[in-house]
Amino acid sequence: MRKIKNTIKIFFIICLFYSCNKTYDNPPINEVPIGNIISISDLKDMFTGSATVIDSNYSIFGNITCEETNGNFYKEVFMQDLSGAIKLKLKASGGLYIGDSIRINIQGITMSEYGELIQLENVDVDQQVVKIATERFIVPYEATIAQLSLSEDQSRLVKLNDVEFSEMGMTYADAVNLSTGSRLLSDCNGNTVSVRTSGYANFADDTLPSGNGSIVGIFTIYNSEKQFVIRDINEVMLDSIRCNSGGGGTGGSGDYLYKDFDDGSLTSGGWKTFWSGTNPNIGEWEILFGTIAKASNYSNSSNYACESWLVSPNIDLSNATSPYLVFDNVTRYGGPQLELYISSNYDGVSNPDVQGTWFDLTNYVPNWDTDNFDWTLVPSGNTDLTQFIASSVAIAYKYTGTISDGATWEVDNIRITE
Amino acid sequence: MIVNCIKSLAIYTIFFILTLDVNSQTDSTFATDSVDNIIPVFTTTVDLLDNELQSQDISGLLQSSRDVYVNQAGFNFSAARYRLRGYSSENTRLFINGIPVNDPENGWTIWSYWGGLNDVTRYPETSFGISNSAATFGSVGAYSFISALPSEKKTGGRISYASTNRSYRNRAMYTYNTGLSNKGWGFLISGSSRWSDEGYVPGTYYSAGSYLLSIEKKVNRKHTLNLMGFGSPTVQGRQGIALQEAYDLTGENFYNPYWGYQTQSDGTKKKRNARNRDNHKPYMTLGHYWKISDKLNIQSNLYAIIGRTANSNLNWFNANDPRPDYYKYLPSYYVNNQGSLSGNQVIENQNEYNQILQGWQESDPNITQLNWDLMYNANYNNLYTQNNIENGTIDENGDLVNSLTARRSKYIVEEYRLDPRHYGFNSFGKLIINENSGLNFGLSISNYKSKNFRLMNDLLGGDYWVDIDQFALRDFDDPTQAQNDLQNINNIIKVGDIFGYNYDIHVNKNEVFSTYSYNKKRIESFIGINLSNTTFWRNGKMQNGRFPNQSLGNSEKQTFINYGLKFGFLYKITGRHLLSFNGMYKTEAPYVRNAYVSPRTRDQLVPNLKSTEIISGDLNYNVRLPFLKARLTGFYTQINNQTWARSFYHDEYRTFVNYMMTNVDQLFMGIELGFESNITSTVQLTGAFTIGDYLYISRPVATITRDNSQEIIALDKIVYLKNFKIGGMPQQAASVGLKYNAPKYWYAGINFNYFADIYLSPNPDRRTSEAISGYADGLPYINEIIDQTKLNNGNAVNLFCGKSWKIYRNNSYLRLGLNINNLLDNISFKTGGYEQLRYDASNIQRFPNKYGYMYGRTYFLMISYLY
Repeated sequence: MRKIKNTIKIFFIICLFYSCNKTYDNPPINEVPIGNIISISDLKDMFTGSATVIDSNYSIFGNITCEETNGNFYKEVFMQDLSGAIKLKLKASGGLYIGDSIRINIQGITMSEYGELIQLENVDVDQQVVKIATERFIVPYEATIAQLSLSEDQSRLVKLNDVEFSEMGMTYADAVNLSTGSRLLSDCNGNTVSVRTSGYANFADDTLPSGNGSIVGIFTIYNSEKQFVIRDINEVMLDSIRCNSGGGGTGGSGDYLYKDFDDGSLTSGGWKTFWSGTNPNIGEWEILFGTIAKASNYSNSSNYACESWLVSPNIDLSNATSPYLVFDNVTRYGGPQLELYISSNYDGVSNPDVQGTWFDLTNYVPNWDTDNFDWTLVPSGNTDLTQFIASSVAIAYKYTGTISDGATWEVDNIRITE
Repeated sequence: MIVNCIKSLAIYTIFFILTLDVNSQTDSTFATDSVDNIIPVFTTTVDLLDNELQSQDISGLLQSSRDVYVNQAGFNFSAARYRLRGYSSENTRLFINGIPVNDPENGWTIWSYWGGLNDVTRYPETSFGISNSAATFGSVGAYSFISALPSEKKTGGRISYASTNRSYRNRAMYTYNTGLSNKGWGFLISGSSRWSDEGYVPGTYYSAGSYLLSIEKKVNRKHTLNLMGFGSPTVQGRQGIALQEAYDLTGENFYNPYWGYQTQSDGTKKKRNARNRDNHKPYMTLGHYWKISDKLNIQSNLYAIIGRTANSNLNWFNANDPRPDYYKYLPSYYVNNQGSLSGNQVIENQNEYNQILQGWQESDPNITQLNWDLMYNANYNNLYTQNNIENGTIDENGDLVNSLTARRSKYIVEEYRLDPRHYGFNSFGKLIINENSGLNFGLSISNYKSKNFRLMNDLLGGDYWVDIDQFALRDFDDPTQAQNDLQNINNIIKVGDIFGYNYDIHVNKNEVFSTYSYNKKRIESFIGINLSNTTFWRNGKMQNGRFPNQSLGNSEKQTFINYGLKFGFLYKITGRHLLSFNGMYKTEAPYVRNAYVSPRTRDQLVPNLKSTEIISGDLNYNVRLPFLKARLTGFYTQINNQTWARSFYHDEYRTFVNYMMTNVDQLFMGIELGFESNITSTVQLTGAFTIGDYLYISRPVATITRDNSQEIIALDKIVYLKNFKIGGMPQQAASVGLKYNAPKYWYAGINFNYFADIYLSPNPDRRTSEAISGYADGLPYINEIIDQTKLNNGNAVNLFCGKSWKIYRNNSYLRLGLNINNLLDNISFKTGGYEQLRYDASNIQRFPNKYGYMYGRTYFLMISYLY
């Protein structure tokens, strides 16, 4: 009996030891001091032109107008009060969302500029920002492109009406190489802003809408260039009739295809190159001076055999009535003629050598440059494409070089319009 | 009188001990008794470290063997993560009172589920390699049968207290066995408590209990019944291994990134560990022992294993990685960056580098450890409105609302749960055919389910969490794809809620086996066969936004039929010299743990899933002389068609991937030698040596899919693993020991141990032609990417001593013992680690290896009383 009693007692003691699950108190709240309250516009007026640390105990109040959720903004948001707006560069990604009403204690924060856009650097959302309320949405400022002031309106949430993208068939950005895209948006009077989109945005790969309408985003600047950043793809409502539709105008907005290589990329906008040849990379299409497409099979005093394609994305000409192709070109050093082809059944990805029925347009181009020992690009004249109207049309330049011969060809400003 | 005093002391303070058992006054069980706890905190298999799974270890099993080689190896080699013949845990079979305790999902025997029951588990019946086992067909590793029947254990009590400085600091244990009474009743009761506020490694703690109750009733001469329950509830703060950089900077080889300080309401700072383990798996069994005749015995068991295993970890949303050893927070990150910067950035980078470096060198806990206060404050401040809560949530006023404005946690502690529900029946017996031959036979039916889900453990000062996937939110412009639970769009998660994933894994297995044995004067032989049928499937309970058609409901069932053959032949040259040869061929169903690409999100199977094939043979020479016991063994085993599946961030593909490797063939061959020699009647010399060669012998093929979308990134990618060594254990090990048994009931001994050829497990993707495609032939970078890391050889010296006193008045014993492991405090011996799966082929040092070190000098002091 005593044994059993002892046993029970010992068991109780053992159970006591097994109960020390650890518990913790919540740590204290770090208060963010208020200090003096100033407006965003007063703060920006204090900017001296070079990066400075704010050493006074100031707070600014305002509302957040964009967020990082879709990937178009990274470690940055814009904040706006009644007086103006400013860009916040964040120490860490995340934590601020559209509609947040916040206070920032800016003591110790650096104010600087980038391309004359004033910004606050390295804002620590967890330690310098107090969230007061959520869902206090700012109504976008409705303006025309011409009305936007580089200084007063920079960083502001803006809505532009009656605008359209100038470049058709392109995507917002290069989602494959994750590089930023810059796409011209214009109104019917020819005023433009550059819509800047991050390659990381989840809509970077979407094709630009072809219609006319309204768009909401943050108005930014790079020196004297007006720029615009989309915060939510659902706020891009470009689905009405374009400015010059049916008017027969020749302005940039009527382009079905436009490629000027000014972004330094051969392949942006869905363009592709294909190459085959004897020596690696010789004869490939390349970018010259950052703005022109060039092909040459000449290297180290020799010519190398190659075949090199520059292929456009498929474009929709089904709404066109009398489209034509026009581009600039120049050649030197003698060699096979640059050839031009068109196809209405190209799959958009394959090598044109093996896929697609390609019609040779070379002899329909009114003005190919001849080798007159001059590097001046000459206009090709209009090549009528009326008989190729279809819902999916691609054009392709074919450069050919041999082991004994080969010219240098350059092309630029390729445009299909009407 | 004295004894009564001692008893009272024991009862009220637990600093004392009573017991009775053990044959020899100077039994070395004392040494073995202390081993079980070296392992659990420090996982034995490197693979498991990155998998965040349970530690597996069989050392608990090895330690108590009577085999001259194994009982030395089990004790002395465990500190270096030695594995018997290189096999991992699924190649062993363990039974407790007749019920199989290998985990049906991965085959492991996890000793910590019955940790602290040492008094009961101390003397199992164990055999190694291929053997004629009673309860099952077995495999190529060990077979062990632990009995917990009151009639088979020593009667009496044993109470003990131990003090140590390993994963726990205190252990109190009590066991009492009534034996079988005249009326045929027997009770065996055992319990223990192990605890420490902080273990050997900073930030770790331990709190574990254990209990066992076994009731035996002998109904009549033919029938005996047994009812038993046991378990070891354990709460533990874990240790993580780190980069060499972190060890070098802090000057601390036991740097643990898992903990940080949290300020308490009284202003003090308290260490808190983010990785906690909270397990409790009770085992219950009803056994029936039926002696049908003198020639036929059958034991049958009904059992249930119902419990939970929980591992906690931090998670975060739209916030910085809180882990202090994340690569961007280490000084090397700034060094690696320097080359790509220009202008002001260079100076800024240099300043940040200096700041970070100083923080690490001074072991500033704000830099080198977790910062709980910052995480709480980030949560306090994150006011957020969640709209469109499909099924609503209860707001602070108690109303059901579809829109909630409150503090949304950026940082949380979540808990990964794996709760087994295992029911089974098995029956096995022995028929004696005649004086030379017998037949063992048995069948087992096992019905297993585990409930797998993620549970909110702590919102760290915030009010809620939303069940969406941050990466999917960025990757897809359709926001429903980011939903983890499509039937609960924008599900609001509070403490105790299930989120993220929720699915059951089912494994049903039926098996029959039979072994025929034939023994004559000079010959012992057996031949055995088994047949099994395994079915497994996944049953999803949550519809995932990325995989709406593959996540919910029962998946297709996978069935495998498997068989095995084994034989053994022993020839007694004389009674003192024995020669034996054993062989086995068997196939085994793939373990479900390796069968699904990403079971948390979908039921997609690993391609080309096949049964594993095991081919094994061993040749043994045993010597049993009065002054020398020795065994020499050569073994050769192939385990083919294995599968390997992991998920990790792939730098080249810039996305989280599921990496599956099939057709993994491994070879284990080597020689073992163990001896015990009584030089004099009091001095014993022991030795254990193993020379192994454990390597990959095939070129597996890998399939890589994007975790988020099932897009196949690479198909049939060849992994050039052939001739790479299997990592994570010493392939050579040696131990030499001397023990003095004094006539006056004390003993002392010392062991010298040496470990060699420890490799890190190769990261398969680094051994592909794609990984080195950026380099021309012959560049030294190529070797840096593909060469396998070999760790330095190491050593440890262990010391043990003890004494016992017999108290004649009531025929009881008092025993005292001390073990000192790693006497020379060798803290520079790397016993393992792993290559990070994430790697950058253009700069392999960007994601360097992680290493773990052997504990320095530790002690284990125990006093016990046996009555």
